[in-house]
Amino acid sequence: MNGRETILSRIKDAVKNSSGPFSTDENNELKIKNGFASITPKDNTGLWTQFKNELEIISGEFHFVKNIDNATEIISKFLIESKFERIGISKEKICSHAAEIIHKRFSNIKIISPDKLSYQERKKEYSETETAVVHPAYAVADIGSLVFPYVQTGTSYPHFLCDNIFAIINKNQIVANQFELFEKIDLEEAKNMVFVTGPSRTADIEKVLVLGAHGPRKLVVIVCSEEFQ
Amino acid sequence: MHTSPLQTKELIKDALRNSDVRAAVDKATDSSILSRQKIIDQIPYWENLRSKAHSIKKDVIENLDKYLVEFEENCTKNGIEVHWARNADEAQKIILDIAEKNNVKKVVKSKSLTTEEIHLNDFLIKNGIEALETDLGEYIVQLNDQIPSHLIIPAMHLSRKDIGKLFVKKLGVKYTEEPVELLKIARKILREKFLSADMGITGVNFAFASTGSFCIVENEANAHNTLSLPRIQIAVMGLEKIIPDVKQLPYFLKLLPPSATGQKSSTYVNFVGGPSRAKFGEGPEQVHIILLDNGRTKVLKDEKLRETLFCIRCGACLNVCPVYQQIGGHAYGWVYMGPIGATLIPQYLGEAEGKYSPFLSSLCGACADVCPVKIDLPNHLLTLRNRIVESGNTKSIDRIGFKIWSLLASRPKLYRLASSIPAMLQRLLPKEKSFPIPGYNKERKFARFDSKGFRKQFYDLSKKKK
Repeated sequence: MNGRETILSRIKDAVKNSSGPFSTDENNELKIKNGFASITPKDNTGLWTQFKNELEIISGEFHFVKNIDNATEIISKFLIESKFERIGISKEKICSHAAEIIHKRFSNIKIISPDKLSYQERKKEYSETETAVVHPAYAVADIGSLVFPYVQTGTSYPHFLCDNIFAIINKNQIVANQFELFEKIDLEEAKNMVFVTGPSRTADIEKVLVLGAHGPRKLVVIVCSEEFQ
Repeated sequence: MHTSPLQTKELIKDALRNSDVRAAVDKATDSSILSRQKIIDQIPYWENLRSKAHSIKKDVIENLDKYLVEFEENCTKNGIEVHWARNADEAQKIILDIAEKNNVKKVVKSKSLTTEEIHLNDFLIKNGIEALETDLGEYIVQLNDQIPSHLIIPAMHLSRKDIGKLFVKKLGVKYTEEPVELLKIARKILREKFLSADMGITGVNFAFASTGSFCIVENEANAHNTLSLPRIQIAVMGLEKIIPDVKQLPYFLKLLPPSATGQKSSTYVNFVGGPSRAKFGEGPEQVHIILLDNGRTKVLKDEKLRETLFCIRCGACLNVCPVYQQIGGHAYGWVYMGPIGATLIPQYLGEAEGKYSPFLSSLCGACADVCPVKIDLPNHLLTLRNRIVESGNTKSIDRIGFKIWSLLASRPKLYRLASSIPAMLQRLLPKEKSFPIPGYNKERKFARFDSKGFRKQFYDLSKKKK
């Protein structure tokens, strides 16, 4: 017998008896859902307020602006102050649009896009780029989290190799919690994706929290009230 | 450096003698307990979530073959190559074969207890392949030639000073004990390693039968870099890590981070559903998953004890355990430690090798109270103690002692007489000296027996009350 057959037959031999069903309250699932419903704000503004509060607890930065132009002003200000000259973007239109607006303002800014780069070039270029503009598919209100399916982003290198992440999102792209997220999201898309909740961190040395472990040090979420088409 | 649970007694002595280790463990476990409580106070119906997770895991473990086959089929559809390993040797061989076929020279790893279980780093290094841990704590313990002392905080036993000295010795850098500076040093070295590695090896937190995909939960982004930058990815997964449906994941994502690190959510949850290079132009060309038995099917045999396979490796039971708090993780002599380790060691390694492990508990029950999947750890520890006694893996002096005790305990008059003997004997000793019991010394005095005995005291007290 090969490994597969041996293991499956060991399992069949071992699990002949069940210890009986675990006694859970019949309404357990309902209680959990109602419990989460009880802490879920009723409208979009409430959800973003909850998201903002959670994000700030985990050292993220939050802005609510009118449109993409206003979002790029925040990013431009950061680039000037930091004297950075490169922006890495993921493949969504909103990211390239934001980068173009910034480039029009400052022609010296170089835009790193995944489209024209090979695998090796992407690794090199993004790891030399300090700032990224990305676009989450969803924000999750109750934990201040962002959802990035690769089908939409086309890359995860800007999200992880750049130190300062600006995530631009439309105000209707928010869900209350991960239960709602998994009801809404396309499960095929969900096979390759990442949830990002704040900047990368470690507390491995004497439990002292340090931001920017092996990923970004800064995460800024900018919500646009006018939807980008 | 690998140890055995048979060395537990010596390892405990070492740990108790080292006050720095005890202080570091004490500080870290205290802070973990507080941060956990702060978060779960904000989560509605925490107890119902625990029950739900328990029932999902129960379904998984009792239908493991069905879910594994479904998982395998769906992985194959997604282009993930599935391998089955009966034991550590087979898992090592599968990994080496993949590495050799693909001319792999450099491997980066993210934290995975399953790979610790199969001693993967030593094996790869012995075979001429560079294998580097990338989680900061794991990187530190690897530099220090140790294994993790905690499931979640691998270098919990080391102070910032220890780590500063270690970096000077092993990396040739200037001494610093500032965590920010120490991280900067490690980050710079490891970033280069991520970018040049041929293969990334990760563990698995949860695998989903219905979609043939899996996820890895982390805070540092090292796991993401490990699975997205090299051209080959291998995930090593214990058979029990499966859940039926990705839609059940939110229950576990609500339970794991508060229990593990006192966070409402971990920073990253990475989902892998196949090789991404062909689809997205980056990441691995090949994704392999190794389904590891290595003793798990032995654990399945007992219908009560199989509950220990529900474990999601959060480490909460370690933090609250008064024994772990004193002796730290290395004293258990294996990769799993604390109350969950004490149950897994004799089950995975056999009663002869794990004969001391279930006794490393005060049976206070704190571990069962905090376990996010409601594993009845104190009862399982008792069951395993029984097994160890029944299998003859105890000292003959212990067996004789307990036989005498059970003989007396079932005869009240005889018991009363016998229990008055130590008090009588102690009259022969000078008053300032304790009753001589092995293991007790100047620093640890054995309290003197009350010459009246419990029954007499109880009778006198109740008479007084009246």
